[in-house]
Amino acid sequence: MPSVVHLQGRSIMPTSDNIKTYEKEGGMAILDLQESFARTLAIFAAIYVLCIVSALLAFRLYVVLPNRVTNARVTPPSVTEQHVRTTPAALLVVLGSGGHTKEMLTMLQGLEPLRYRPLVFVRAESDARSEGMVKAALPPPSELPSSSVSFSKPDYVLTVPRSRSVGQSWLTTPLTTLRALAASVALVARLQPDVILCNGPGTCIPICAAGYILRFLGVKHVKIIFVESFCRVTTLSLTGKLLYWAADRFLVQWPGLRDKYPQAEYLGQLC
Amino acid sequence: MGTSTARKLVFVTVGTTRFDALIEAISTPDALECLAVQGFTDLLIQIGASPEPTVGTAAGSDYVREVHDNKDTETKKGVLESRLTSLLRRRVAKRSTSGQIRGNEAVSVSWYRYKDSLRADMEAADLIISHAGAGSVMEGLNLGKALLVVVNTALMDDHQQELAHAMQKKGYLVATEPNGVVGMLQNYDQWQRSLILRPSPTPGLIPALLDQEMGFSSPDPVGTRGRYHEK
Repeated sequence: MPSVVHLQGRSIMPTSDNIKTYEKEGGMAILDLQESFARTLAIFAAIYVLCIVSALLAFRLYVVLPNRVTNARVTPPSVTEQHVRTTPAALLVVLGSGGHTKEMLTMLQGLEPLRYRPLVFVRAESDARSEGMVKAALPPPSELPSSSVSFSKPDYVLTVPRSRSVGQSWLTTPLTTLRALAASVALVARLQPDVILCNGPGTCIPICAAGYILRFLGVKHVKIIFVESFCRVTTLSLTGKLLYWAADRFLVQWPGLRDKYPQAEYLGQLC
Repeated sequence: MGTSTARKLVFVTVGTTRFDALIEAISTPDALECLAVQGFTDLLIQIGASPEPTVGTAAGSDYVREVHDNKDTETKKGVLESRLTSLLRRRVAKRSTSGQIRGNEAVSVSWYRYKDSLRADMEAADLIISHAGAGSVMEGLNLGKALLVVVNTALMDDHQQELAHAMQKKGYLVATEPNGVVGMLQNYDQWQRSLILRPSPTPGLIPALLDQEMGFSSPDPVGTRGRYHEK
């Protein structure tokens, strides 16, 4: 290893700052210091590893996204083998202010209570009315067959903080969004739902993100079913536009929307 | 004061915010005259955050039997204010409407700000005039009522209008703007007869879909997926 380098007729002292290769009119002066070589190697190795990891993560994401989005030919085993499920599924329903909760409760009529345990509703902290509506809507114990578990309320109605309040400053929004996401991840990780059902309020974004985190990490294959609100006739809500690419089933309630968003399903009006 | 005429109620709702243009439109002398001619006996307005209607202090009092304030708010201050104004209004109303009752042609006007549920008032109404909010519209349609939806042209958000116009296209309701309200009231008996009752939605579709996804039922080979239901 040279301690002195001859460059363009001059002698210079190599320092740890010099990592250069020169080629001048047939002459070549290569600076070859152990530190710089090691550093270069380290950088290239890091880039290489990063590329591998990114590729793996991208592949994992591809595996995890719903088939309709990736156009994958492989169908999940539950479809081809026609295996009928015998254990209850954990259902997480996202409620929202305004008409969202009312629509959701209308859509859920006829849900077989024994198949979906635990049945959990999640609402925003600021939502005062949804809980009462849920408890009023569910059947009283006397209407259930005597052999069934009787319930007059859902198993839980849980709350998460809002990502952003109306009119909140955009400076503080990232903080509150992170807080909402953290609370959602904690909730979803604890509950580990089999399926999340939502119809558009902002609350469902962190909840579905949390569901996807679980799915991505392979902890639980959480399915997402999104039903766009009935009042969306020609345009999707912001939530809908985001979840169009992530939901396992994406429903719209007006046929015009299906023309615009071909992967959406239209089953008629649901409320 | 027993009358032989049955009560015929028109219920106006503006929702949780305000819709001044609608309240003004419905409380003009012309509007009240139309209502009286069409046989309406009562006008009940849910005014939300809008200012109180000025019926009873203007020329429209010709068609007003009485004006009273039936404010229903949650704040104590609001209740106090409403009691005071209602006292004043009754005084004013008595002065301006006494001797101007015209028997069957008079319309009784009352209003309030909010109620927990508007369902009772909607059920009692013969005609509902509503803002274009999805909740009010759907509640009115589900009750099978004659529904006139008034679109708030001052609002930036367009998507409320889409629902109203889509429903109108199907013939379930009629939609208009605030300055078209009087015209619609004039033609009430015509369009009211041509309204189609909206069929109830098929129940159980979402539970069936959930059952499919969770594997409780085998997936339909033809599938609900992508199937087009056009009514």
